[in-house]
Amino acid sequence: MASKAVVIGSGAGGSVAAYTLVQAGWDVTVLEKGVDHFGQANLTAEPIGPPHFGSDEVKESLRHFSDADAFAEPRTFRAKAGDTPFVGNVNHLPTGVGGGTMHWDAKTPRFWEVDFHLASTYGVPAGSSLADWPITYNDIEPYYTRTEHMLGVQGDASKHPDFLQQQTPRSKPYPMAPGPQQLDSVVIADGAKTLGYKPFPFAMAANSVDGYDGRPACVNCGMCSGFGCPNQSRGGAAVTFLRKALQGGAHLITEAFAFKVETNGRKATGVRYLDVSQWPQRKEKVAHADLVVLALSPIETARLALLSGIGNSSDQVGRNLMFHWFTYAFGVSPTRLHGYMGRASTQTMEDFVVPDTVTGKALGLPYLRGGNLELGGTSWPIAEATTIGVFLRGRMHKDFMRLSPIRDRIMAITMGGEDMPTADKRVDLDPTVKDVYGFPVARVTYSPHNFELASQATIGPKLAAILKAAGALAAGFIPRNPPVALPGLSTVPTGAHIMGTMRMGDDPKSSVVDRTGRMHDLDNVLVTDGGVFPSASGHNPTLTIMSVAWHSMDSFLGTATPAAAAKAVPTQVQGEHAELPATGAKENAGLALGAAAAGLAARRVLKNEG
Amino acid sequence: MTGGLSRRSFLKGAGALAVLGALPAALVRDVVGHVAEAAEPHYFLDAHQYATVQALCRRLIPGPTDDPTETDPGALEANVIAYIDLFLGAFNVPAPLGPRIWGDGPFSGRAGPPPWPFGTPQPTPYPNDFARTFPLSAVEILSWRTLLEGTRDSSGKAIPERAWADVAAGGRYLGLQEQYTQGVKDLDAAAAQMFPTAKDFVSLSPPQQDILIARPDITTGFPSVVFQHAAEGMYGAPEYGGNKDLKGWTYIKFPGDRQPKGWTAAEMLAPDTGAPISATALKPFDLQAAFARLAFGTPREAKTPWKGSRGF
Repeated sequence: MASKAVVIGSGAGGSVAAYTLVQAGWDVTVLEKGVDHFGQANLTAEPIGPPHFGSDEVKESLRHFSDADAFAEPRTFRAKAGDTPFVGNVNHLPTGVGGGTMHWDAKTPRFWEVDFHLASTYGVPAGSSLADWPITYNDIEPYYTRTEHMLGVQGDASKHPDFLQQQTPRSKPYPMAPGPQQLDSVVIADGAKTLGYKPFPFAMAANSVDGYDGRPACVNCGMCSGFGCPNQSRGGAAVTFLRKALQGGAHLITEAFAFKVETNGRKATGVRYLDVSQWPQRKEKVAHADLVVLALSPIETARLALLSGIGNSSDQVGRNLMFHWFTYAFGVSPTRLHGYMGRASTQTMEDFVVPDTVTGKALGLPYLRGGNLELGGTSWPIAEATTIGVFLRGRMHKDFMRLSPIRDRIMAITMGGEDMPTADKRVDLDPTVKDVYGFPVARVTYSPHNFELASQATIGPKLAAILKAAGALAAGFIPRNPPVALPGLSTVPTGAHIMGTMRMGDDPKSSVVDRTGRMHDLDNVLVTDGGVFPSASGHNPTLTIMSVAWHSMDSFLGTATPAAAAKAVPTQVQGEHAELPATGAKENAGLALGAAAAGLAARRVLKNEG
Repeated sequence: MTGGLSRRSFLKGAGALAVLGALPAALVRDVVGHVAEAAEPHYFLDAHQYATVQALCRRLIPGPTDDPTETDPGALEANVIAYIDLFLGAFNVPAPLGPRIWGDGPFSGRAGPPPWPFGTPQPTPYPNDFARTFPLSAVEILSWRTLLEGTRDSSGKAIPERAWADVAAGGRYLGLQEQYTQGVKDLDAAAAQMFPTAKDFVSLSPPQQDILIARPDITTGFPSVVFQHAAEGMYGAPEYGGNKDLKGWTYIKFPGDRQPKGWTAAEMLAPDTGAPISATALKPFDLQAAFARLAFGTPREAKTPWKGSRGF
């Protein structure tokens, strides 16, 4: 009889686990807390049938069709121990079949070679727990390539600037060429080029040709990031790995809330869960297992481990939580840019991923670093109308909507910057608040390290400068440290990029899982979500989550692909000691660290530049 | 589930009778009694509440009949009140349309002759998927009912399976329906206090209503809640009751949902043909606040988590 595996979560990490286990002949059960918006019959049909998503702002953005239910299952957040907690949506990821990839932006940059050994190359910033990964870029490269082909990624590596080609050597080109470009992205990219930056088409898991993997081509409908894909052209966990796993015989149980991993010595024996399909009628069930895979996403995986009392012999579960540190720059275009046509954004640049050791040292840090940029992107009519809220009402509201400064004319840059892990950025169980099922919710404690604040203060004004160069009438950057910059604004984490809490490492004292994702404390429990990341890089994480998950599963199954032949990657990132365009160490040398500087800069830019 | 039905359920129109059979006798009397008064289908609000919220919406998003300098349609013309009433009374809508929380997908069919992108046969006639309702799971029913109806039954007793919401709110969680019924009462009381000849908010003149809404202690309360929902009704898909004849989208030059037709490469890169604006046009608006809130959401405080939203 086949060995039984229980995979908890049907998102990026869980679907990869289910797929590889089915391929290896295991009897696989996937437990998914949420519901199925694809419809299993349509999801597994050949060719694929229609889903239940729609280009509908009320349904997706206001009534959270494919989001987690942060009302019935809230989390709590505090900046530091002792603060009164916020209760509600704390960076919840979508809940349901496909997980976060149900309405992801589907941007798929690779992490850089240097991302896997930042600590030994640059040093560990004071107060942080930055560590090298126990695996390398070369270990993961074959899986990056396979995942790109599985998801159906469009991109053009020949357009990557030299430093990016050097840092992300590839064994194969992208499976599809980039699709049509959207106007706001191109306008902003052109502005960036005039300043010497190197923008290029954003790699994205969306079909640019009809019929790739039996799915249609993307029609650039616009309602992309934050919306489920209505025509199945966007790749994601459900329509690729999970679809194939289900076709291969995996069992998917939805509305199954897993609350305890059962163990006996060093072995997990099964998973206890609530069948909530008739809630509030309480139906408790057990799924027996020879292997348990945790892929609930980092915050919920840590919560389940803590609820189960597993993996935590070194008090590391829940620690080293990382979000990308988001910096936004916005401007207003004199002409309408109709950002509602496209794929959220179609241009990116990685110039600010190059570690800046000059400015970093001047500020007492081994290096500074931002993240890749999304050039372009828009908001939707209800969002534009409600952003200012009741304070802009009557005729003023109508004028604002006609002018459309933050929708049809918006020029947006989003940077998900590297987030330095610390032991105090963490998840534990809230002592008071419980979810609708009566279990303690996850409590997130998180304050930025100086690394994020200094990187943001250094790079933020450059983002605004790009928008000005692109012709923006008003341009400013929005620091992610609002208590100082913009009093009253929330510090509750957002951004949906979540990593850490179940760190991967060779030393059981400072990590939760080993280099293959297996818990140090238990022989048959694997973690395959972003929880295993020892560092955050400055890149959208999902491609790396899936690629590392695939590597972990193959390692467990004994079928791992050998590491890519070592490419001669210099230990120093190209351009690292050159001043970045429009950057001057001198300009930043006197900059006070942290919040105040960023806040002042934001006020200056936002108030005066028109 | 206990405490199931909302305290105020006013149904009218086709399908209502089918539901009446399932309602307690007292509620049936309530429903039938109000049917006679109401000119429009009311799913939750009674006639006075409906008129009051409607009047408020007309001040928040005015049309030509509300502001002599305004030329484009407003909340009245787009029938925003129907959106709000349908949302509040989502669980009073008879099946299969109700409970009306989420439209189905994938396509509304609005974008013109739809090339069917799937291998399955194209349905004929082409359906408006948004007009159907996607069914709620058991937990979603409990969650949405709690959000709308609060945590108490009609006799004021706590409903055990909704207790989590009180704990999370750090006190009694106030459902959205009660925020509306209490909000209307508060507006009427404030109207009578500020303008002694007035009997309620509706009887004030539009300038008086503007003065009342502008009071700092009032603006951030009920009018703020209603503004959120009015904007959803004005600029959301028409299948939720508002945005009549796409009036909300048309005047802001938003073409609406475009699946499965989408946009061509040429359309995507086509430049704007309108005259460019200058920085002067932006002067009236606080873009700093707009940008900041666009990035990180509206200000939130500890222990005031939801205000009727499942997300931010």
